Amino acid sequence: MTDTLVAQSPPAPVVQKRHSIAPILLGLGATVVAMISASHVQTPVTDDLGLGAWLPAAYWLALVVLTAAFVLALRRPSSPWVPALLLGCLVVSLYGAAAFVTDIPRTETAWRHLGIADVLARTHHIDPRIDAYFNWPGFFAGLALLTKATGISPLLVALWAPVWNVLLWLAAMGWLLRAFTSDMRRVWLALWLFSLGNWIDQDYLSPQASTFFLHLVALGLLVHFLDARPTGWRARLRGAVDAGPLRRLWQVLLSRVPVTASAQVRVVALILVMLLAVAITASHQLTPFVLLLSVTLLVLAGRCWSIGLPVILALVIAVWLAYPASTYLAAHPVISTSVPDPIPPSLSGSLGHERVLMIRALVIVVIGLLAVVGLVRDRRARSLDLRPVLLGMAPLPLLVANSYGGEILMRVTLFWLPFGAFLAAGALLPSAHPRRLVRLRRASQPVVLLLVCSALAVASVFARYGNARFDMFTSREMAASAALYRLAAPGQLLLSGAHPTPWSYREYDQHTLVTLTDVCTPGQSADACFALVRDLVRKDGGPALLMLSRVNRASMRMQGDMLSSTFSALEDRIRASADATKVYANRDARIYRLTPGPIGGAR
Amino acid sequence: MRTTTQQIAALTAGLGVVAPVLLLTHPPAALRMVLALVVLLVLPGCAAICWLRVADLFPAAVVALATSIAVTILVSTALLYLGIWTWQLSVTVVSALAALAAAAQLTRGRAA
Repeated sequence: MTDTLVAQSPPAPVVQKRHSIAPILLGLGATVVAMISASHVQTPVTDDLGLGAWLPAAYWLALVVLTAAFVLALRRPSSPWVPALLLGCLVVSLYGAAAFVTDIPRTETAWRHLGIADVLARTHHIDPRIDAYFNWPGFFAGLALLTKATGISPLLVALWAPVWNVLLWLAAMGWLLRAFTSDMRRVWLALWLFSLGNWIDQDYLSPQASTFFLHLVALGLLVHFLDARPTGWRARLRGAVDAGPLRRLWQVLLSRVPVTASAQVRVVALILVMLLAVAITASHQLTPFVLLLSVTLLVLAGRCWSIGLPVILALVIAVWLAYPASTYLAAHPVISTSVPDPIPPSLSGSLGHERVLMIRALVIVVIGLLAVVGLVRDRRARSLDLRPVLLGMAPLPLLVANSYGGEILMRVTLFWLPFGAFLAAGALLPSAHPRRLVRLRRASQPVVLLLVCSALAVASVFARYGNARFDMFTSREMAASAALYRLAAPGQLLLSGAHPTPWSYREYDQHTLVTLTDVCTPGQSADACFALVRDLVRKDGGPALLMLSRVNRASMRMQGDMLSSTFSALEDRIRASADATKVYANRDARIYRLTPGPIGGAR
Repeated sequence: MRTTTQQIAALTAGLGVVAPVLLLTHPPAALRMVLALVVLLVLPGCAAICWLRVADLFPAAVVALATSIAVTILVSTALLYLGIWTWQLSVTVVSALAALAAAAQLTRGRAA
C-alpha cells in the first residue's frame, strides 16, 4: 500500500443495511435461476460453440442480473459481505454450471489425476519411473490422503473442484490485492474481472490449481509481512561515491527497511513462504519458477525484506530437480529454449471451435487493454504501486524457457490475470479527479461497468465451456470406459481415438495408453492410420483394446486432427478387418479387440 | 489478541491429540469426515497463525488453509517416499506436528 494511495483513498462510507438487501436478493435469485436452468441441459452437447450454445435464455438473464446486483453493491456503500456473497454466487453460477448439467467430471485430465492418486494410495510408495507425475507427486499425495482419510468420494471432489479452487484463489487474491489499495471496491471489481477472465480452465482437480492457491498466499505473505521500503538509496549511492561499482550496487540493494516491525512475525512469515514453496515445488513443475521470478523482482525493486529468499527458493528447486525429479529429468529436460508457436496448433478446426478460440483471445485482450488504461490512470493520479505491475510481469520469461509448448501462453495468462484484473479494475472505477470530464465519466460509470462485465460474462461462458462437445462425457461413454477396464488383461495396451477420453482413472500404473492422434498424423488416410495402429499393437506383442467414442470423433474433427469422414472410414476399416473383434458397444462408444497377425500373414 | 492466540493454540494442541485418536477408533462416516478435514485442513494452519499473530479473521483463515494444505502435501509425500504411507499414520503425523507447534507457542506465551 503506497502512501499516495492512502492519502487519496475515499473516506470510509456509511454502511446502510437497506443498501445491502436488493443486491443480496437479486444475486441469490439469479444464482438459483442459473442453477436450475443449467440443470435442464442434456448431454451430450452437440454444438461446436460448446455449452454456451445450449444454455437457455434464463441462464444468460441470470448472469446479467447477477452482474447488475454486483454493480449496485459497488455503487452503494454496503457491508463487505455483500460483494463477497455476490462473488460466491458468480463462481457457483459460472464455474459450477457444468456440475449442474452433469454429475460426470469434465476433462480427461481430472480423471487421470484421480488415477494417479489411486496408485499412490494403493501402492503406498512412489515409483518415479512411471511418468512425470510421479516425479512431482505432492498434489497427488495430498489428494490420496484427503480422500482416504475423509472417505469423501474422489468423483465428488473432481466434480466440484473448479468451484472450490476458484473460491480459494479469490480468497487468496482478495487478501493479496488489499496490500495494493485501500479502496475495497477496486479489490472486489478485480476479483470479479478475474472470475470473468479466467477461461483458462486450469481450475479442475489439478496440481496447477492447488499450487496456484499456495502461490497467491505466498505472495500475500510477501507483500503483507515481508514488505520493505527502499529508503535512502539515493543518499547511500552518493555517500558511497568512493566505493567500487559492485560495492555501490550491493549497498543500493541492501538499503531497505522492513515495513513489519516485529522480527518474530517476519521470521515466521519467511518460514511459511518457504514451507509453501517446498509444497509447490513438490507438486508442480512450473509454479515454483513463477514464484522464484516474482520474489526476485520484488527483491530487486527493494520491496522484499528478505534479500536472500530468491537464493533459498532457487536452491529448493535445484535440490528437487537433482533428487526426487532426477529420474524424469534424465530423459526429459524441463527447461528448454523452445519458442512457443505464435498461433496455437489447435487453431485450425471447425468454424465453431475457431470462434471459441477467438472469443478466448478477445476476453484476454479486453482485460489487457483495460489493464493498460488502469495503469496509465494510476500513474497520472500518482497512485501507481509498482508491485502488481512487477508481479504481473514475473511469469513472462517462461514464454521463452519452457517445455509446455503452446500451452505456456495459457499458463502465463493465468499467473498474470490476478494483477491484470487489478489494474483493469482501476480503469473501470471513477477517478477522484475533479475535472468535469471525469465527473461525467463518473455518472456513466455504472452503465459502462454493467455493459463491460455483462459482455465479459457471456463471452466467458463460451470461452470456458467451448470444448464441451468433446470434454463433457456422457454416462454411456463412462460405461464404455468401465467396460474397457473390465475387459482388459493386466498390462494390456489400451487405445483410444483421441484426447480427451475418460480413462486412466484406475489401474494407471498397469496399462500403456495411446491415442490414434499419438500414432497418426493429421490428414493421414484411414488405411495408413490403421496400418500404423496394427504395427503398434504388433510391436507391443499382444492383443490390444481400442475404444472409439463420440468425444473422440468430435475432438479430432473440431481440432483439425482428422476429418469426420476419415474417422468413419477408419472405423469401417477396423470393422472389416479380420484382426478386429467388436467386444462392446453402446450408442456413444465401441470397443474392439485388435489381434494383428504377423507381418505378411493372413488378414 | 494474546488471549485469543493462546486460546487457539490450546484448542489446536488439544485437538491435535484427541482427533487422531478418535479417527483411529473407526468413528461413523460423518464424524470421520469432519475430524479428518479438521486435522488436514485446519490444525496445522491454526498452529501457524498463532506464531504469525494475524489479527484479522480473513487473512488468518486464508493463511491457515494454505499452510494446512502445504503440511498435508509434505507429510503425505514424505511418508510415500519412505514407503510407510497409510492415511492413519499420515493423519497422526500431521496432528502431532500441529499439536507440537501449538504447544510450543503456549509454552512461549507462558514464559513471556
